[in-house]
Amino acid sequence: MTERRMQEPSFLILTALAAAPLHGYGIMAEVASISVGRVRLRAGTLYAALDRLRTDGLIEVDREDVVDTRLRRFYRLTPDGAARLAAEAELLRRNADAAVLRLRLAGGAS
Amino acid sequence: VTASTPGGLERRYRRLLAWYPPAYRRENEDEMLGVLLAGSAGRHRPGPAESADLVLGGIRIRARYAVRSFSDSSAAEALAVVSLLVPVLLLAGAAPGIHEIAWWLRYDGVGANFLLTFPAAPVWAGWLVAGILGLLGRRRAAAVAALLAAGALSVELTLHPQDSLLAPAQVTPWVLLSLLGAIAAAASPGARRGLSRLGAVRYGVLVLTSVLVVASQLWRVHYAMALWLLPVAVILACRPTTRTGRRVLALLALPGTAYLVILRDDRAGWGTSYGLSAAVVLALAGLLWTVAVRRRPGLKRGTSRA
Repeated sequence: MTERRMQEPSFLILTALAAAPLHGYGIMAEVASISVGRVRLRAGTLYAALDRLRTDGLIEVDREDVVDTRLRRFYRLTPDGAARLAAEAELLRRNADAAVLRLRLAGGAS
Repeated sequence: VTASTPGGLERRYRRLLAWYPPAYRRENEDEMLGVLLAGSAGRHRPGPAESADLVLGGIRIRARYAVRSFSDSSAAEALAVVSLLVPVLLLAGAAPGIHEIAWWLRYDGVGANFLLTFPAAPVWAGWLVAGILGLLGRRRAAAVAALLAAGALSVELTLHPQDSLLAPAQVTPWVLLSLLGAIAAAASPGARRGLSRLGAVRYGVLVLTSVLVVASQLWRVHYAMALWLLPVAVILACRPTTRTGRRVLALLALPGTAYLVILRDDRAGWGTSYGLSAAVVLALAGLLWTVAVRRRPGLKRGTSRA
């Protein structure tokens, strides 16, 4: 059975966490940076995605800090999360390569 | 604290976070507030888009929590068992039609046009497809097939009972069972989960009992007796001593009662002399139920299984 495709916010969150653990606000900033400002996650969307990714075992809590009496929780990729991100990235790359190749062929034929 | 102060902004955020489940808030509210306030950039109240995003996020997580808690519950286990059983039990409902097909095949050889003798065959076959998909673990496909089959069967039996060779008075249990099966297939973790809960041996016994009902219809031998085997086999296979078993029987009670009623229907040709048998079966079910309910988990070793 084929695995369901990952939604873009989940993909970008996993990508943001691929290099190092980040806290919620850090993830939002990193996602905006990765997508060159195209995707700006709001808190409701971010935490719904984090809840699902934690349930699926793709991310986990790395550590918790308290800054100005406020809890700050850092998240990191799990090995399953890294594998899933790699698989998804490979799939996107293959699709993108195929699209570019066909466009090039179509351009050459015209 | 007024709405124009930072404290007012925090209070407004907390009010929006009330859309989230209490358990989720206990774990995440402080962290979310930190993120929201860090991104508020001098604003004094949440914007409409941000408010809508928080409300939708809360509803989404509430729905997810509800699904999680339901799929971990014994009610979900019971529905999974029901979704496993219904396609098998419906075999008995199709028995008169299967008999006609066999009869025509044997004596007239018009098997290629069996729809003339059993016009509702494709509708009943829809449940066969749903049952097979469920056993293959295709939960979503099985649920869709079950919903379509239940709708088609309910309409067909209600409008044209004769297409299934049933009298109008005989259709009620099959319609109820079909609708229950569709709900169970759509709302439960699926027939595979039901199979692991019920056990292959008990499931096999039920399949054999349904096949026996069909076979006895084909041979016209002890058909009425075979029909009585079905509720007895269901009660025994579902293990009323377990909580899941009791829930399965409770779910099947409505179509089961309608089934017992039609067994006494003269027009069914199944005879009224089995009224005593009906009373015995109901009394047996009641006795098992009473015994099961009195045996609370924990009172006796080994009875804590769901």
